[in-house]
Amino acid sequence: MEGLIITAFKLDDDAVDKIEKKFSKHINAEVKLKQEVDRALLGGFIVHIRNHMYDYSIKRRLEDMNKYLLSD
Amino acid sequence: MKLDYVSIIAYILNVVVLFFFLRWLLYKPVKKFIDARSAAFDERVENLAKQETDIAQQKKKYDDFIADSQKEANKVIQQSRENAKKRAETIIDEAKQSAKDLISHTRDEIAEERDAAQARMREEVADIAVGIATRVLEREVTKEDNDHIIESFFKRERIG
Repeated sequence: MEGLIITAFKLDDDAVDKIEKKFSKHINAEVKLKQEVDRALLGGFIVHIRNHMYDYSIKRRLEDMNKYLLSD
Repeated sequence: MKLDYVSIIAYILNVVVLFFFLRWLLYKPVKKFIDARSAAFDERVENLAKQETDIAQQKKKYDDFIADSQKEANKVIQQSRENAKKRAETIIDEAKQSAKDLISHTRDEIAEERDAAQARMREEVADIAVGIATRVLEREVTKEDNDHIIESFFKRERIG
């Protein structure tokens, strides 16, 4: 299954392999990820597989922090 | 001077005869006339008395009417005063209630404004904090830091 990984910094092939294996185990199917770089993420990565998005970016954490500060 | 007793007696008899003659001639008509005048006079007096009585009755009726009208007028005035007093009290009560409602409404508006201002301030503070954090991280996060983040992902047991 093909997917997309977006990172803030270009990952080496080992790191991408490890990520692919982890996701393969998670969805019980072999995953191959295409890499893109987006500095807007600040750090971490986002993976798109099968219409699902897995967001482990610093940008996402900052958004969560914003929501937390605005919550009652 | 020698008195002529015969003439005197004749004169006296003349006067007496004249008296009785005139009395016989004039007494009845004159009496009738006098009686008629007296009756007319009495009738007039009676009419006047009757008129006086009517006038007195009319005056009493008039006085009673005036008194009743005065009572009625006083009643109307009193009622009007009471109505006016009630109306004034109602107006005052309504004004007080309106003022109370206005104060309550204004307090609610102020509270809403305050809450909205606080919410805006929180948003601005959050935006500023996240903005600062973003700029700092843009400057400070290196590839090595990124690698640490990737490593922490690998240490997770589950994805989710």
